Amino acid sequence: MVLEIYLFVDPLNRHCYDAEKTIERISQKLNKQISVRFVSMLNIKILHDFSMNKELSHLDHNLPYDTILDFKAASFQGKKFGRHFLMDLQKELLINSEPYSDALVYKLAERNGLDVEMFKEDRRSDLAEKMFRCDQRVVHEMDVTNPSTTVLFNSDVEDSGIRIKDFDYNSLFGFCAKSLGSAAHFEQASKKPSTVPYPKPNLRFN
Amino acid sequence: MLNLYVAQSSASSRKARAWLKSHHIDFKERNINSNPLNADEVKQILRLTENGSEDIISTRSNIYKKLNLDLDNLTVSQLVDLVVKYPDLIKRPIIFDDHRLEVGFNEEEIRRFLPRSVREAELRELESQIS
Repeated sequence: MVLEIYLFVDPLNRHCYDAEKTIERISQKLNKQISVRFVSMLNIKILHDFSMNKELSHLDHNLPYDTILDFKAASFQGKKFGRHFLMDLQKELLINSEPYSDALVYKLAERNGLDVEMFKEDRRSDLAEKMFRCDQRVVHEMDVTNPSTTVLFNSDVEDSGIRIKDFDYNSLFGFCAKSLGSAAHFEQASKKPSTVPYPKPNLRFN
Repeated sequence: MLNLYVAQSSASSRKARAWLKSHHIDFKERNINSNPLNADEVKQILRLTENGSEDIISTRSNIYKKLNLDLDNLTVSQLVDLVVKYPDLIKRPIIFDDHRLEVGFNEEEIRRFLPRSVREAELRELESQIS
């Protein structure tokens, strides 16, 4: 069984950075049977929020898109490298208030074990843009509107995945751990509650 | 659209094809020996692997031994170039769509590709429903 965790990210959103750290911690703890993918997203609301963020927006109007392309290019060397690069970039931009620059981006690429020459070729390539559009398709397919939303799938549960907008470490960890232990647990959760026609034979009160 | 990259005489490639057919999942099949990948196509595969090139390179393949390669001493771009030149360096089958990728055939893991819907839920609601 594989538990897939998708996390939808706006690189310049502090809340996303925290959500990424949460998901990374969960996947490290539960290890093997988990597949994590961070999906980049951009929409009008994100761009609006960015324009309102005085700390970031006066520097570079293309920052939301450029950071996504950097993240996509880093991912061309493996998802793990993409995630680590992204989180390091966010730490510098959002926590340490470092200004975005090519020098910073290359320093982080090297620090996170990327092939820097390949990364330089890829970060403004047609392929990076194409893969961003591919991410946007996933956003649309999974019907995600807010960054830091997560979507979970269990390979043993056929009909449905679960989309969760708000989560914290303890509750999501608990849910994932239980889901890995039993497909039935995930299946039950992925079914719509309280739409079962009355009378429900095994009605439970809790 | 689902992509299936196969090797000619590979039993697990045949199994993957048969599984997809029996589950009525549409896919585009490609034999990368007769129709080799370009560098961008290799990168599109790598972006869905967890660890990058080490997940797709077959260190047991004849060509890997013949070229006397060592994964630890090669950069990712060198590996991409090698895969373009020698398609047999990568494991098959490879199955992938926009979201996910699977290397090799595994009866449990290939179930990830079954089409699914997504339902919205709140964790608190899930917890109370289950406890």
